[in-house]
Amino acid sequence: MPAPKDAIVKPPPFTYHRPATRFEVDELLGEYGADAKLLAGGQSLVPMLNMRQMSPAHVIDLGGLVGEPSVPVWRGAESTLWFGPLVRHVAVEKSRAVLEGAPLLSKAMDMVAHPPVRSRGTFVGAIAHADPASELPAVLVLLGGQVRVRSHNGIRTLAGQELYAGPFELTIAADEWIDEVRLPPGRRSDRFAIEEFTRRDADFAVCGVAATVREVGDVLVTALAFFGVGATPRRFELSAMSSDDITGGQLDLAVRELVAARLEPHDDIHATAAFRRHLAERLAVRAVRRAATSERSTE
Amino acid sequence: MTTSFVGSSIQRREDDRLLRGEGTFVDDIAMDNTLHAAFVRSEAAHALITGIDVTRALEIDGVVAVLTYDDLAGTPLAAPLRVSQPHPAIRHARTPYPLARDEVHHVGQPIAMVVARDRYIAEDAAAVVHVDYQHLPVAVDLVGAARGEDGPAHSDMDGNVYASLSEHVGDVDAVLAKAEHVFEYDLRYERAAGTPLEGRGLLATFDELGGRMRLWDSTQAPMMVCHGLAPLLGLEPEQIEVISPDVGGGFGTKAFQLYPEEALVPWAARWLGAPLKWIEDRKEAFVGSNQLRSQVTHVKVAVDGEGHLLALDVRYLHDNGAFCQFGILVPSVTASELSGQYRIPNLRFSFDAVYTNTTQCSPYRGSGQPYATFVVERMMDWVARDLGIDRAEIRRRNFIPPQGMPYDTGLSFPHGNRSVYDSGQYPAQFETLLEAIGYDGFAAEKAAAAAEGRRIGLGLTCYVDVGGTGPYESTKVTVLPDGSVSVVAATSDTGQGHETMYSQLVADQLGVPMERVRVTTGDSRRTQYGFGTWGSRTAAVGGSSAVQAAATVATKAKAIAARLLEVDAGDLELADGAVRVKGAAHVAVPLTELVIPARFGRTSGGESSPGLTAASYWSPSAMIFSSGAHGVVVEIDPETYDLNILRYVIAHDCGKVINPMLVRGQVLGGFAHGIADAFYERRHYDNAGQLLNQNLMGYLVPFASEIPQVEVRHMESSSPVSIHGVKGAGEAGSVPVPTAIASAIEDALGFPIDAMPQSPLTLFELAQRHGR
Repeated sequence: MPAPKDAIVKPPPFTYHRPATRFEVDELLGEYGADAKLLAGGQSLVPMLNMRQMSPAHVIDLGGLVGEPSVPVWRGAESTLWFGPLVRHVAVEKSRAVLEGAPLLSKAMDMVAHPPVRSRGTFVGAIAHADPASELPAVLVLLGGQVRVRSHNGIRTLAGQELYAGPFELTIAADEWIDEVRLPPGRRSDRFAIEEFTRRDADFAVCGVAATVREVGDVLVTALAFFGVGATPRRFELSAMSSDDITGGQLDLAVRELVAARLEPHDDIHATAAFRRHLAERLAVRAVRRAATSERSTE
Repeated sequence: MTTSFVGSSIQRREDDRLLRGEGTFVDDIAMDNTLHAAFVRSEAAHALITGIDVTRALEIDGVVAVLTYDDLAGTPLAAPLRVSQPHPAIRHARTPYPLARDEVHHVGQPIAMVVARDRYIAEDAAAVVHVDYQHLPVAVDLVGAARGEDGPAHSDMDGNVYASLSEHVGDVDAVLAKAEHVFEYDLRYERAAGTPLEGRGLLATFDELGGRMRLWDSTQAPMMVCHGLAPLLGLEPEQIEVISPDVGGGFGTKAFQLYPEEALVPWAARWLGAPLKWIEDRKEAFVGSNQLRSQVTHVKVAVDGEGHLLALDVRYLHDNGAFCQFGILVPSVTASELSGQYRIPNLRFSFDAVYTNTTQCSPYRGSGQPYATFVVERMMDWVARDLGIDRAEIRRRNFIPPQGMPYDTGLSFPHGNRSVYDSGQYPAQFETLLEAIGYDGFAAEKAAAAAEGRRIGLGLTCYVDVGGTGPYESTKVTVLPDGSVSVVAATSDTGQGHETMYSQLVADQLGVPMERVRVTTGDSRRTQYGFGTWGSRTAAVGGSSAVQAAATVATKAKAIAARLLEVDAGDLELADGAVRVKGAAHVAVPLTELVIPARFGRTSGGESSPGLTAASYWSPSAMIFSSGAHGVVVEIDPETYDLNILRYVIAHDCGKVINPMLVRGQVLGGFAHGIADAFYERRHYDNAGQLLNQNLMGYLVPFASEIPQVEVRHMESSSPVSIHGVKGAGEAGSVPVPTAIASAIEDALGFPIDAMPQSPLTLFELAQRHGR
């Protein structure tokens, strides 16, 4: 791409593609694969290019895809909440379908970046970016969502849990891409909470946790997914507890055991592994208690 | 005089232009055929350069030149840049070559300059310049470096201490030996940096025919840059036009001179015969723009049984990074304020200034003052604790009283006058603060919170803040033929609102509407002698020179009008754009009619010089000190250790106020920097000298969401030093904030906070260590 006359950004050179259909994206990825990057909202890719942290030979801009929905869609026939590749965060944040079908995601959107970023960044893009500190992959995994993966060779569906290989790394092939994310509806009786610790408002989380609490007979089944701690989001279930266990010390013990056994927190300048472990415990307890005592969201 | 603009909250004249996006910053200035520079910077903290291969860069279409040290041979740029703040205590001056010669001393040091048709190409080419390094021992940790265990940072030195300075008042040792109580404390302050929204930027063009260099420079100190460049370019200062256009923040980062880029870009523009632009990007700013200190201190203090300070002995280490172009300015500024607001009859400091393989340091908003405040005020809290005296009461017992002013601390201020406090009402100011923050009721408030499992704490600090540093500042005031007034000031505006401030001062002196005053700042085409904007000095020193120049013009105008009106000059006043007889406004002569007589009049007729114009190089005869007290109530989350500021009060005295709205802006902006310096911003280097947080995701400049509401109480102790009673306001908002927050966190958590900045992580670790 030739430099504009008054260049104020300075990514390394790349060839720019602007396909009009998903099929054309498949073809381009089939041809350039590992040398290509997809551009959707550009809130992560463009700064990385400008800082020359990556230098893809090809940038494939999804912004020109024709006929893509701009909002999440409830598909009654499949009973799923469906997100196309150009649905921006702001559309998820304001979506009534999301509020009703996946209230946890609505809560999580409040924590995603600042309004300017939410107005450009895309939901599927954040799922595919695989930032381990992002709220959205954890929500996907916790809610048992799926992604649709496609390439010039065909289309397949992956559970969110199977999508992540490591920080910023997916299990899919270089010529594959995610064109849809689907979330199943929760039960109306499910309750949710999300807690995170950030250094500044709307930063990526130093540590965070999303929780669902489901009534199964007389007991409560709690599931957790952490972010900002560990390489990939995973869904953990605690053994069933009574509501007294949850308000009492039983929950603290169960969470401590889970964090000690299953999480592998890392060190960075904002938190040591020990501090992350401490935060993971305290935030998980907060989240579960808050979920368990919250109003059922849509009743 | 009928008009009075001084003292009014007049809207900033700059805002209309700036808010509409019509400001002109360096990068907004476009010239045909401009070339663009990018720099190859050291990736090693300390290494010998064993080879530089520029072949691939030169092969790229659009690359004009790739310069390394060897290309500068035989030019003035082949020598190290000079120390712009020399001091006899410096034993080992080390400054960078504009392009590294054979040894690099910090990550980010310029090694090669690529010039190309546009910045894209320059970046592409810089990325393929290959540098071979032979790594050398690295000094990063201040204490290790000072002891000579790490490094040396410069392979031609044995250790890393480059300067040592000591000064004393009274007999510290004798008092320490026999005092009733002697306490010792250790303190530490880590490294931060100014982060102006607009990075540094340069656009240089050389007019071969006219023999003139023109440099647009996003700097706080255009006159200093002009004079600093002259020997490097082989030109007279008057042949070098340094213009600082709109500047998007400086905070001291841009008061430094000369940066290597600042020498290279104009030199190369001349050599290449084309305009050359370089705009610093954020990544470069993190490693190439100057930072501010780490310091480590040991304090010994002698007190009597009532908590009266008898003697203070302060020894500290100062980390200045890889070089000392600003000499020992920062640790010396710390030293000059070690008396705080208190009478301390016996006082001694000694410091070692140390090189490390990190980016060079120079002042950033407050310079060494936040650290002086931290040392003195944390000490006051701890002496109170150790003697079982209330921490407000111990301060009351030691304040310098108003009747003790001016107060000579016995200490020196670097490159200037003695550290003598000119005026201040410390006790009254402190009582105002205590009342506003609710000090008396706080014990009950804290107990009530504790009963709910909440940890809250109250922090207190007092401070002094030097403003009005010399040597002088220059302003030229001229009544133009159309009766409008031109003000040319050597200082440079970086967002403060100087255009508004100078207009207010001069309009009052000359009796003209503010709209008739046009202000030019930071342009060496218009004035040659002067310094720039830093150290809270512009309103006090630049403002005094503006008042003095305008008053001289007024005197001249009256003298001429007196002849024309055949009245005594003493009966005249300036108002409504005219000189008129007091009490008989119809007997008047407009300023426009005085311009020609002033130009043609004989200079022996009572006027010292022709024209309705005067320049002033006003020089403060003594130091000017603002003062204040901050109080804060914080809550610390017992699980995440996050900080929540429940209320914050600033009692503030910056002397006479020219424009309350501008002062409030300065205080609140400084306050935000203080919050940053207390809990968010910190440069993290690893042991290899790599900066771990090289972007704004890792280096936590607080958002608006992190800055709490603050209540500001003003006091006004007019300065006897400045002409108009004004003191400095630019830095005072930031100086005491980390100390107040430290005091409050300590009160909330119950263990000592002796290092800043803190973070949830450091508080978690401290709590573990203290078994909480």
